[in-house]
Amino acid sequence: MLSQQLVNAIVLGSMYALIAVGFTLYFGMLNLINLAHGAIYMIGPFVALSVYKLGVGLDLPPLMLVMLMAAVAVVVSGAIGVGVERVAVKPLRRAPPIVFLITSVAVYLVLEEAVLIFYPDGANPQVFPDPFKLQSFTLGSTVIGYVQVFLIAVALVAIVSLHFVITRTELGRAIRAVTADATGAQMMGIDVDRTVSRTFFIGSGLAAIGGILEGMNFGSIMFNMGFIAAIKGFTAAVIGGLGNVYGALAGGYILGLIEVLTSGYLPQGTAYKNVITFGLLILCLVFRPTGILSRSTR
Amino acid sequence: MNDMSGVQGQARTFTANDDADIPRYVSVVAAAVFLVVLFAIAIIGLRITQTALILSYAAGLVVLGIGWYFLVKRFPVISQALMRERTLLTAGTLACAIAYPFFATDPYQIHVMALGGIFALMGLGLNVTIGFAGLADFGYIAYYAIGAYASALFNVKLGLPFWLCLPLAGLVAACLSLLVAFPALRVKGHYLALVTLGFSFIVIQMITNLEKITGGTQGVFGIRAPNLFGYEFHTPLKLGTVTLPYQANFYYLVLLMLVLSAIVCSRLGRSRWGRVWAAMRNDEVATEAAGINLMKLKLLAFGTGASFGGIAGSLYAHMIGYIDPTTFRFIESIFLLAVVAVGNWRITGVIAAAVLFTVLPEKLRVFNEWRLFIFGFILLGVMLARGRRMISSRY
Repeated sequence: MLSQQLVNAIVLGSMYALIAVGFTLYFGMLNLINLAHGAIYMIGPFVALSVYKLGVGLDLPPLMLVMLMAAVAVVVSGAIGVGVERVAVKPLRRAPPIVFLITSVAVYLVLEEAVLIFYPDGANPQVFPDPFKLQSFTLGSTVIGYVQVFLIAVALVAIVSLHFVITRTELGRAIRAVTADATGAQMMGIDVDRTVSRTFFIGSGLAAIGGILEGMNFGSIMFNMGFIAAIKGFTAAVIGGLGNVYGALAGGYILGLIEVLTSGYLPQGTAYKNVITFGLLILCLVFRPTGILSRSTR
Repeated sequence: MNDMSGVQGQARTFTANDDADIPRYVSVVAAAVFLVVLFAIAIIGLRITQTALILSYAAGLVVLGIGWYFLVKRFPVISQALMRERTLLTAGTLACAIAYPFFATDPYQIHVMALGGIFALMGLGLNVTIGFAGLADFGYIAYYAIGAYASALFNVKLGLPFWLCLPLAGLVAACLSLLVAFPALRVKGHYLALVTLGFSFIVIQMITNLEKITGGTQGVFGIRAPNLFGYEFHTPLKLGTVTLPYQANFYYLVLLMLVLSAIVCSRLGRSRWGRVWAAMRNDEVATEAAGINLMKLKLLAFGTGASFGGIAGSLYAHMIGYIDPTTFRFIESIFLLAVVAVGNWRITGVIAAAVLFTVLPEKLRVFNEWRLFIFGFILLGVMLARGRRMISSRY
């Protein structure tokens, strides 16, 4: 029973972690909350589904098809993320945070409604395909779907490559420098605009993977799935301390664990899931006002 | 330093006004003409329903707006005259608002305007928390929901009349807001935003789950309309020879509450509380060093802001007669923030923005599913055009 819950928690936590990374990256660089990130999270699986519908006739091996879906979704979502940065973030670089927050809500509305209008039958939930045909295996008493193993593996790959990009590449160094001090980074010859733009690509791509994870795990996607995901992702980022990438990843898994355990073990836990999650969160913030995992108070 | 230059700037504009050298009666006539034209435009806009007409109306508005911009740029004396007659313009706007139901053809339009007034009431309340005190409240919808449910339950279960439910709803919302205000004392900025957002999640899920009290997803129905000395609000309003639809009763009730709230807000902004809130918004440490109890101030800001939301909720519940948890969506809190920001943290601005935010989506209804898409674009355009010039409050 517990191991079953743990598997669920890891899958759920992976989604939250992947969307939280974007929130924390943008916050660290530009001190803003980007709710449009939720719309990008939602667009990812919709793009993947379109690719699936086009590619299913080509008789590709399932794994290759899934890879193709993910790759196209990441690129398209990343491009949309970069576009959002160009249109809505850059002109407001010096504006107070709340102005940007509201702008991002406007962008969110436009993107969400665009999917609702332009996607065929977009108003209804869309069935998301499971490439593994719902097969599962038993480990002890735990039933694990192949899709769950696959999802956890994908999340791991995404997280490891993120770690690699941030610690080992030129871009990662630039990201860390801009996060620490944008003006100083600029003086050292780092192209801040380009770094921000690429960060939006990375964040959006990871969010798209998170969205695909949600689609595969629950078997359906809908145009309005982005808002609640954005709230959860923001929560995970705050748990980890805004601006801290590894904190956001950990925050995502902590949030997933809390949710799964409360709905699994408390009486009426499912009904009160959000109450308990947010109640705990508020309590934690009261004792650690700058995030639970943040090292120093800024 | 900043404040100093602000005061000097204001002083200079006042002298410029006196130098404008136009006789008083000219500016009064100009203001009256301006108001009448604006009212006519608004009435026409509210009446038209066909897609083609709305499109050409919008195009006309854009042309008029551009024309007005260049006219004022060429003859700054016009805006000076209008600025001098601010009081007259405010009174005139109120008169127009009172006259509005007589010009409306569709009872539903009056209903929408009443909803706009309720939204404006919430905007004013949120403006107290975020505009005056600088506390980022992202879960304002929670107080609205609390007020609506408190009022509905007092009315349905205890049989209290509306006139008692209304202040009680405000009181309950203010008291329950302290639940979030206490944890919020320790967090700032984005973290405060998350705490309040989480609080609104908790409130709405509690309302959904506590079926014994709130009726759960079934909602509460049979909330009685107000009754004033035997006069039922659900009967058409007869004024001499004119009969207005019953929606006008609620419209006037909301208008009355809105005017009272606007007066309270403007007094509040200039009161001792308002000044200390402004100090806290600008610099918490300096304010505390000046011997001011920040805790008390923050609790006051939350409570005052929430009481407006509670009253708005009560008005809504008694106007519609039925509430359920789906009425209260989280995105509304964000829309309210947008209203306050677009209204530039000013009382008149917030009211105008709130009415626009209610009427615009209703007008866009002819575009069916394109409605929110277009609304999002308009909001994006407004924010991109005006965003950089908006007042930077603490949050």
